[in-house]
Amino acid sequence: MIFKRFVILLLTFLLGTVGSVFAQEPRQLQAALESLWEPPPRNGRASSENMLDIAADALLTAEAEDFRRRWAIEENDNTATCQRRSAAAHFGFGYTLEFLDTQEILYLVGFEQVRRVYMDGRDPPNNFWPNKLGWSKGHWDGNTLVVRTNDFTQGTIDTGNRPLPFGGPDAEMIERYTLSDDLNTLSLHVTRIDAKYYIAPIEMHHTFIRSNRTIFAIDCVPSIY
Amino acid sequence: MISKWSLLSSLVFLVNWESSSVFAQEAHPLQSVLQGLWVEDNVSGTETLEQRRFISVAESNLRDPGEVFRASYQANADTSSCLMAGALAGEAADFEILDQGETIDLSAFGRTRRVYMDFWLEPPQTFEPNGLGWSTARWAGDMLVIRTTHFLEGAIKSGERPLPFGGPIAQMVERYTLSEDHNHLTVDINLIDPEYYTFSLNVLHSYVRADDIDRDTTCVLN
Repeated sequence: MIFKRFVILLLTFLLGTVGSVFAQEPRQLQAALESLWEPPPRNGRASSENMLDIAADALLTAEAEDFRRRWAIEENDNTATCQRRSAAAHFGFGYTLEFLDTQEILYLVGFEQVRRVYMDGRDPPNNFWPNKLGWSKGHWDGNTLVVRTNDFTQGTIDTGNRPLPFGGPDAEMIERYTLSDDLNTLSLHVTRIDAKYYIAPIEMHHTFIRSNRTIFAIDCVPSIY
Repeated sequence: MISKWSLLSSLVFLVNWESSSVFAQEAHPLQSVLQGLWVEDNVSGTETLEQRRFISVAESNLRDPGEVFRASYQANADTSSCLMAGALAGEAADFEILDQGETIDLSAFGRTRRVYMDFWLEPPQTFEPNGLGWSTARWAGDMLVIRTTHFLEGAIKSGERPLPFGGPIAQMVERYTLSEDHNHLTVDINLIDPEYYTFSLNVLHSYVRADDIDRDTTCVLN
């Protein structure tokens, strides 16, 4: 146990010291990401909700199973109560995704929420508090944009009667975005890691196509149970 | 440098992840207690409210391929007396559990399904998808969690209103929980089949320990 703690501390230190090295020059591909992206027509394919269940349902820890038992949808339905969703919940559902590029910061819009992805490797400021969107840092790994998000507060990535919990100090989401050669298709691999609630990472793959559809805001009206 | 990051992250992951496959799960004391004969906790013998709810939710979530399956199923009728593993969701039949340490044998509907207690064990290359699928299990606290994949397409409920299930991406997750006196068992079954259903289907059956059960005769595969 002592050895294990030592290894974790050592690795945490190393990760902290090398973090700033990852700031990279903005790539041309980063500008090409700027667009609205939406899932292609399903044409009989499985919904993302179902695929999230397949990826996660059998991997719950005892703590996650207990979380489920205590869960009351009427007290926690973020959709019905118009509350902010966890950024890690976004990719369980087939919603649109929008990128806005300012080089040092990529803005990711989804669920009517804006997430900032810092491309310059900066760490959260001292007055930062964990929240549902977390803190996102991006870098390019070849032609793939890698976004790591930490500092989530406790939440869920799927609700309903069988929620999937996610979040807390150890939770991490890694997104890998890769553009097709013609720049019109965006492939996304999402890994959600949360050892408190899952015995292994939850891996999912999504595809988006570039869209020029006009989207607009819709007021969320809280529902009453 | 990126690979260094990946390597360090992987190491953190492995060190933190006590439950991952590199740390084998020890035998759970309740595994041997599960062994025995179990009958549905339903004195009336008629369809329970839970079963009715399950069937109506399944029917209302059927996608087009599911409706097509139903139509053709009527025409073909049952071609085999062997029910698939997921049929326990549609019909809470009596069943038997035999603990063999590294495996558990689950017998119902005249068939025996082998459950491997190494959760990450992959089926051998010679394994062909079938009605029972490939089952592996682990303990989450005092709950036995069984994941079954590699199903052939079949029906979890036969008769005039069949419910399709199975195929390459179908997955069944069963959760077995013993009561404190070890004489009652709840089985929570989650069926996820995006091919046929809009959402995953869930049903909860209750069982009591029995001295004997009505054993189905061994089924005949066509």
